[in-house]
Amino acid sequence: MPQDTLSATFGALADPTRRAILASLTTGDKTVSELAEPFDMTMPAVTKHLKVLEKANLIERTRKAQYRPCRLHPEPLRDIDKWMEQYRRFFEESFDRLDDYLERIQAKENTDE
Amino acid sequence: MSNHKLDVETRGRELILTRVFDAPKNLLFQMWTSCEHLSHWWGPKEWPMDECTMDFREGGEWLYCLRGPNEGDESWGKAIYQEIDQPDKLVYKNYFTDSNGTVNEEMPEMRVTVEFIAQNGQTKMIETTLYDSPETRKSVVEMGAVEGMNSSLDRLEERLAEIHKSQKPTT
Repeated sequence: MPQDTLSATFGALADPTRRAILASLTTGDKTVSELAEPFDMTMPAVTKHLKVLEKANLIERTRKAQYRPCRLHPEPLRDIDKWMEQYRRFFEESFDRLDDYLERIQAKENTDE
Repeated sequence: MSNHKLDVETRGRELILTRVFDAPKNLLFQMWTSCEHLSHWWGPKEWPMDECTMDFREGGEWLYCLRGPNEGDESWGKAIYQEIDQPDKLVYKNYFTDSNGTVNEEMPEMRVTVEFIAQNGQTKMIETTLYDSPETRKSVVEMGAVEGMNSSLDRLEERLAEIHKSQKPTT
């Protein structure tokens, strides 16, 4: 999986406000003013966070009249899951190779003796 | 090849991989501590380690590159050794980097502990990875309520819920 996509996801998730926005969207689509409500923040500040989330493909802005509600887009989070799976597989395959290599060098040591 | 299986466990923010090898502890420790040995096993079969420089001492760095089957497939990583207790234990921080070893700050940092335990002529190797971005984990927990999540994400979420509970300090 492309590493730049993953870093965009991790980067977007690095901020507590953006995480709270995503958490809030898990209960349904929300407008910018609804999202801004629980925070002591101006609308432009919230919009700025939304842009980061949109760029990381974690939310989409629907085209419903002037409200343009935000919707959660969970696909990049699945990529994190896949990445963890890759990490485990990395070691599984490496350890298999290590096993073979250990067998080879120990067999060699025995013949050398 | 032997029949030893990889055991995978998650505990708090840690991912723990355990496997037994048919080799003495000293030899196994050496496998981790030289580019020559690592070049024979580090990385998946299709993504072997292709470049390696190592300064094996506490505070020293190990920079490596894995290359994949297609032209341009490469992944650079760096380890900085935190603790070396030969032949029992090795602790390093692991980073994603570019070819100059410059850390990609947006990717999670991992603290890896490798322990070697002798048992009946074999060695049990325990590789523990501590994820240093608990916020990321936490946010994925918060996502758990989302409809349409696939089952694998559900499993992840269970693990993350556990992490969330046990998570106190940020490293």
